[in-house]
This record gives sequence, structure tokens and C-alpha cells, in this order.
Amino acid sequence: MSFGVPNDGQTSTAQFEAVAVPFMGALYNKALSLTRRPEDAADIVQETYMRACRTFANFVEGTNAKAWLFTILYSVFVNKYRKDQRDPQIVSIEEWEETYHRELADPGWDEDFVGLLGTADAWQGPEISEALGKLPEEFRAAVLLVDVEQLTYEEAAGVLGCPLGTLRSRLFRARRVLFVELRNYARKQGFIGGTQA
Amino acid sequence: MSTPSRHYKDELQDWLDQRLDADTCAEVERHLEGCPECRREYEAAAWTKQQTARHYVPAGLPPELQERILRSLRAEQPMVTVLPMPQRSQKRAMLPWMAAAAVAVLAAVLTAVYLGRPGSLPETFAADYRAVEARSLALELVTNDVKAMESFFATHGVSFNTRVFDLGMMKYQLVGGRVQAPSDRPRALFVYEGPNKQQVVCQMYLGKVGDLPSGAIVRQNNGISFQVYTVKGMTAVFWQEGAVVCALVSNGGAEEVIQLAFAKAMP
Repeated sequence: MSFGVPNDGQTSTAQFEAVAVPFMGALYNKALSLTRRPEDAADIVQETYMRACRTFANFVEGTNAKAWLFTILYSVFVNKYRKDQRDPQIVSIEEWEETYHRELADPGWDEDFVGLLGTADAWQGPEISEALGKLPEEFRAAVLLVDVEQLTYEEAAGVLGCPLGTLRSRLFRARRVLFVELRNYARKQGFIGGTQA
Repeated sequence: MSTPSRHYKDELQDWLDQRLDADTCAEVERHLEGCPECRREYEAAAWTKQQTARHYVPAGLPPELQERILRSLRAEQPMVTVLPMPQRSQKRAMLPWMAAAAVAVLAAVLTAVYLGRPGSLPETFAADYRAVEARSLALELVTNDVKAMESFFATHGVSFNTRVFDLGMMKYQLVGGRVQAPSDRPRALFVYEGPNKQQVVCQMYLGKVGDLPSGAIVRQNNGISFQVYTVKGMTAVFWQEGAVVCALVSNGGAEEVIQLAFAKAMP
């Protein structure tokens, strides 16, 4: 089978390329979201591919190749680059969540939410990426892997090397923060009424 | 309406991410009817998830990076085993009955060639086929196990039951598959490889064949109506199975694709 992993122990670069190269864009995007520096992102992706090719014989046929590559990429990032990262986090997750709870309790919620639903075509620019950029790295990674890359909880937890419950909690809280950020943006743009949180 | 005894935060997240069984789903739905706090929590999370999946703009891959990485991979491993590319259909040895039937169908098809409109489903599926063939569309799961393929779809956003065909009798083997348009209207896409590496791509989605564009040749078999399109040298056969539309696409002989569809379609 042309897409499979050779079972004679001899790793084929061509087969590896067929399986792995189509995910290069997604991996670069993930690396850039982690490092915020294009040069570092490119280096991480290159190292990921070199490591993955060397260990291609370990790839289990029938499993998600994208998740396998993300796992290697995240390992490269954690081991070599994470210590240099400085998240530009200004507001703590806890503060964001307080804002979120205030918004949910707002008597004008229903009216505002209907307004938000009418903004479906308004989110074509970089505002989603910018909102994600305000999240701490581990929260951002959870959203990117599950909501953007469509990995399962189990796959995403495997990539990040964390327990399933941790992944679930990060995703839960990250979505709350993103909601507050996007709602603020919608207010600033005049898509919905009210004052900024 | 009575005040709920507890809130359903964990269940709401699992419901949103399709991780709940049917009984708990029904319980959560009942709870939401009487709990504004949980309803708002769900609305906010669902809206946020949807916006992120639909409108997140990924950074573009620098073109020179892919070249750089491929050069490094090939330099590190000079003993490359080059895989044969899929053979073109004219080199394929066709069975006599297929050849005769293909001539008949080709003649009919040429009288009513479907000029695929950009964005129409036959056009989209033909483009998907080309992308699979060129390996620019990656398979998210590589497997020849039809049950594993069906499980993959069930856990990756495909809400309907997929029926991944076993085409072994026709000498086609499952290669793997992926979910197309996962945040819009998910389609289950899976690929088969047959004699001489000929590929057939199957797609399934929730819809109606009646919504497909006009211009198809209609064939009937076993009480099922099949719509046959030719798009840029490829044959796409669509048919309805319950709420699901199934499609087979290949650049092989038209009649061969049609016969594969006839063999596997269920009334």
C-alpha cells in the first residue's frame, strides 16, 4: 500500500513525505503560535520533520499522522524554545473569568448575544488570531489543537503531554477568555451595544 | 419552573465537543430549558468554538521552508525508495465487459458533458480527487481497516453513520481517509487503491442528490437512481442513502466507477 509504513524496518523517505508533508503548513502555524517568531518557527518545523523521518518506523499505521507530528513538534518546542518564551499576558486568566461571569449575569445578555449571532461575516480579519495570541501558551495550544486542528481530546492531551482533565480544563477556560475578547472587539467595532468589559 | 439543583458545566463542554452519550445529551437538553445560566454558558462556548474554527486565519507556510526541509530530508537519507506514482488510466488493463460498457457510456456522456461550475459539488469532488492523487490533500488516518475508518469519522466531527465500503472483491483496497470541511458541513472522504494503483475517492455527506446541478446522466440499478457527471476527465457518481449522499470519483473508466457504485449502493 503506497501510503503505509514499510513493515520490513526500512524507512522510506518517499513514504514519509507522502504522509507528513501535507501537514507542514499546520505545523508551521502551530510553531509560530508557540514562538511568535518566524525564524524560530521555521527551525522547529525543520527539526520536527528530521526527527519524525528518523523515527518513522515507530509511527503506528492507523493512528492520526497529524497528531503524531504535533507531538514531536511540541516536544521540540518544550525542550529547546519554551524557556525563551515570554507570554505578553497582561490580564490573568482569573481576571478574565471574573469578567466572563459578569457578562453572563448581565441582564442585557440575550439582546447582546442575538447581536453577536448577526456578526457571522464580521470575523474575516486577524481578530481571532489576535485574541488567541493573548492567551497563555498552554491554553492557546489547547484551542488550536481541538477547535482549529480538530484533534480529539485524547490526541490533543497526548500532543501536549498532559492529563485529559488538564486539557479539558484549559480548553474550557480558554474559550471563556476568547469569548470575552471577541465580545469586546464586537463592541469596539459597534457590532453590538454596551460598554467594553 | 423549579430551580435546577446543580449546574452542568462539565457536561456542557462534553456536549459541545460531542463526547456525550445519547441519554446524557437528552438530560443536558432538558436542563438547559430550565437553567438560563447554563444556557448562556453553552451559547458563549458554542459561539466561540464556531468562530474560532471558521475564521481563524493560519499563518502561511513560507514557500522556501518546505523546499529547505525536503532538501534536508533527502540529503540525510540518500537511500530513497521511490514509490511508483499512480498509473494513468490508459495504461490500465480493463476487463472486456468494462471496456465495452465504457464505450457505450462514454458516447452518452460526450453528448451531455457536464460543464462543472466552480464551487459545485461535482467540481469540488473532482478537485479533491486531484489533490489526493497529487498528495497535497493529506489522509488524516492511514488504514485498510474499514471499521477503524468508520470509528475515525465518528470521533472527528462526522455526525452521521458512515458506511465505509469493503471493495476487496473488486480488488480495491482502502488506503485511508480524512474529514473534509470539518467546521462547515463535514464530509467523510476515503480513498481506495485498485489494480495498477488506480485510485477511487469516496465522499459522504448529509444532503440530497436533488440539490446537485443539472446535466448528469442518470442510471438506474436495483431501484436506485445514480447521477453520473464527467468533470475534467473524471467520473463522479452520486446516489442517495437515507439522509446521506454518497459519491465515487475516479479518473479511471466511467463504467468501472459506475459498476463500483452499483455494487455497493444500498436501497
